[in-house]
Amino acid sequence: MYRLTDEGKRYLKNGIPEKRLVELLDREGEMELSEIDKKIEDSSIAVNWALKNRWIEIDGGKAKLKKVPSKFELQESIHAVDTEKSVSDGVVDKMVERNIVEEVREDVVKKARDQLKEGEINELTPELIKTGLWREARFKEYDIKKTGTKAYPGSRHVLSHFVRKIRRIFLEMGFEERSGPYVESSFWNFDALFQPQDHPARDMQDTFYLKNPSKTDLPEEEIVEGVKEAHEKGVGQSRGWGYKWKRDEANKAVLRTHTTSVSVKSLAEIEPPAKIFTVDKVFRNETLDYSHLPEFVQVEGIVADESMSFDNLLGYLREFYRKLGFDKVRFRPGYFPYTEMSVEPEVYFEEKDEWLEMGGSGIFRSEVTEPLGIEVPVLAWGLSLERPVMLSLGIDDIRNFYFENDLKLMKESGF
Amino acid sequence: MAVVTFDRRELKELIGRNVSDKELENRVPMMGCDVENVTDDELEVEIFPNRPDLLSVEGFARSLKQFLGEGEGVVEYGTTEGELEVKVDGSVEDVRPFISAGVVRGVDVDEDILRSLMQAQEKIHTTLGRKRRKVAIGIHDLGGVEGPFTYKAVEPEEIEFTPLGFKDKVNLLQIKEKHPKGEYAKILEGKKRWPVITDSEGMVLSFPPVINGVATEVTEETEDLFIDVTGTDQTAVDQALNLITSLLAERGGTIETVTVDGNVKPEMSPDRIEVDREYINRLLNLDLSDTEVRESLNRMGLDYSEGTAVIPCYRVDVMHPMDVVEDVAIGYGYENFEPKIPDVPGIGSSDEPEEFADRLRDIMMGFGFQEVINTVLTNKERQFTMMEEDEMDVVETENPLSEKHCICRRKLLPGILEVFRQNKHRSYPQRIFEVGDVVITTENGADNAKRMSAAITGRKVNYTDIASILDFLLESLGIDYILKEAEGGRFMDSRGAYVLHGDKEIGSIGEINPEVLENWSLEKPVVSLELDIEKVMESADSSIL
Repeated sequence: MYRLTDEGKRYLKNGIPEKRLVELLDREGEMELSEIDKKIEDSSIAVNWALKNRWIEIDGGKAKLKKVPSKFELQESIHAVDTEKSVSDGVVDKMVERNIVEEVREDVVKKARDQLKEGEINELTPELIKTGLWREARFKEYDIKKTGTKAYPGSRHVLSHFVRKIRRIFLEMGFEERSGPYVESSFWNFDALFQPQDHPARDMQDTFYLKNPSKTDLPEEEIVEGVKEAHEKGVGQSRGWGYKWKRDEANKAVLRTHTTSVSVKSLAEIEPPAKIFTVDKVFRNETLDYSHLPEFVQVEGIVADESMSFDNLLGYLREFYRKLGFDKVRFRPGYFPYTEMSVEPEVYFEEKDEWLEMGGSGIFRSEVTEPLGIEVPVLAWGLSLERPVMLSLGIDDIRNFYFENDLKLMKESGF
Repeated sequence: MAVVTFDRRELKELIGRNVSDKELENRVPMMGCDVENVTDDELEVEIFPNRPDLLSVEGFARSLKQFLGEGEGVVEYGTTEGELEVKVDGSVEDVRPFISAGVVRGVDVDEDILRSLMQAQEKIHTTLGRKRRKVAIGIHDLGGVEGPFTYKAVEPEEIEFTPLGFKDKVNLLQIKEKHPKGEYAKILEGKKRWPVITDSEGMVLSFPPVINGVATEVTEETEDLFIDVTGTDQTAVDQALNLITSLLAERGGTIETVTVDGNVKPEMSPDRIEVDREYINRLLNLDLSDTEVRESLNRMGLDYSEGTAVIPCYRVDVMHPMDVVEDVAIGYGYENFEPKIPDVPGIGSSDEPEEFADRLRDIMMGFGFQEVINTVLTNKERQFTMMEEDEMDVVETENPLSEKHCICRRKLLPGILEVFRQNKHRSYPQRIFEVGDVVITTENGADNAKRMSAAITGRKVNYTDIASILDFLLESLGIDYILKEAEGGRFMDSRGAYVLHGDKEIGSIGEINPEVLENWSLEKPVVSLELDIEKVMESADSSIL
């Protein structure tokens, strides 16, 4: 069995090249070869075969018609193949040689015929298409409303989706992203944030201290001395905590309890104005339950600039939550040892008709900024990631994020 | 975090009117306390550690009344000069060096006052007092004891008295061992001598920070009170005394001074701190007049005139002009500020490794892999033993939450296997990956390192399934690599390899050893890929990044 190739199909539609050439010259008389090239497709094939058939002659770069054949046998054979009429072997060989037809292998034909025998046909097969036998097939009717088993792409973990979203929000607002290590000195985690060394948050019940490494290096002496002074006597107009500050307490290694350690470390390095953010993991020695995990993600940001005021802090927070999809935000007084104006932002959650606390924020105390050489107001926030995600998705149990990597549910979430 | 419960009947008596449920729910949070619960009879609130003056119903009522605009500016508590003296013996220097004391007369002690005193004392102990280590308060019936009193340190077995709750005299060591409050004696651990307060006859009034004696027990018959506060920090000790004396003054008591080691206590006159109005207005972006600043501060119980803020003696949190500015803001009302986005220049820039890691996530998702996230905290058994690998130096917590969470992960792959284990009932094949930080110990501590681990499990899964992914991944990043056979450990022999770029090992790949699969109760083959993200990033063709 033979069928037309792509070229064959083209010749069927447009006519074989030599036929088109003969018709052209018959219509317009002798013509420059270059002119022919412009006027018909496959001009060199056309000239070649017309010469071979002695239908034209070439003289001085011009083609001249010698005779118009009574019929174009090849053209008729192409029609014959297309309509599945028989064609003589000699012509078939010529057509194969010119890549106008190709042979469909016997086994393919057989397969296609076998498929046809099945009666109502379910699948359209390559064999049916190759042999053209699909024309004779009766295809099974499909219920087009059935979408079949669900298809799932590889997808993101839901938290990773939100981390990306939050990173984009801050990048859009022109913030610089910074990162820092999980293992931090108490100095950067607490002391530099003006948390007195006997502060309850530093207790073992709240903070993971480390057996290995138990100690870490303190930063350069100037900073250490500044922080010590802030605690003991106060810096600037501050009265300080008034106790004896111990270096041994400050170099104890901890798993950072907040990403504020990254912010405060950055403060020691930057020149205002600066806008910095971090979205990363923190650790608290909290018993595992539906709303507490020993590790979770914090959304941290600072803005250090001469012109900063309290309403700007509220402005950034409101904008952030708006971009996350929470339109109703309110601000309550809070308390953190390192901020003054301390603010707890809350978002309104309609389904529960409740205001829910989202984290902490404020303006860094000058006892924090001055020892680091910063003399402008610094807005700061450390917000929960999991909380708004839980609210958005209606998740009640925070453990679902980390301990229940259920592949079925994750696939279905489609992030 | 201190949560206290107040009786609404008492609040009503102290404020002079009933404050409705709605008012409590709406206004108390804006004053700076979390409302936990409001019932018909009680109000439960969380008091922040900077405001121990709110731990008593008297102090809370005082502040709420002011915040609602019904108070009268700074409350000043006058003192009258008293004759009582407390001598301080040098022996306390190394034990519990500081003491302060006061007398309050004419209090009509009733059930409410007793309960309030006990609650305030207990809450101050746990917060400001750091569980009595820093500050401990003793409250005594002054009737029947004679001054001068002496604060001294004695050998634990040298002195006997009858502590509250006991019928017989016991020495200090016996109190430590037998008395329910004896646990607080652990604060004195390592001290050869323990502190006591005695009267002129040598009778023990108190064994701070543990227990008082029965001789001065406060009852509803009590009219005159003696308060002692001992501790390790003079300021905190004085502050705690003021909290108790001002509480009693709110109940109609007259405060009388005591001479403590030559110093007159309590010192209850208000404090003054200079706060420039411009500074206030600049930080708050407001335009308040002196009068408006004063009005705001009055709602917080402070006063203000001509650049000076007046702070009542019970406010222990004000140590910087900023603290006064915050009170202006709270008094003005956080809800009255208009949030404003400022115009601070800055071009957003992302953390490069994080950005690169996110690109890897996209590639892996393109391969149909599901992202998972596991906890950083894990244990050695999962990280090493179950992986049939040698233990590595890891970050280990001193106070772990549980045996399951006591070290920081050094590798991601165990977490991946854990996810497979949890999902044995789900359909196969499973293709998952995690991108995250592991923690590596260094010479000076420890540092994070970004890693990626990906794995496939299923009936017909083999090495080439993952090798082809590695090949595309690295090729697309323009990284030449070679594979060097890895021996033993988590991989099957001849089916595991290190991924090298030049001499640098940037990852590993292989088919997991069935021994490891058994450890994780996995019954289908697993092939895995691990990459060191920072090293891959460094090796990548920068024009592609």
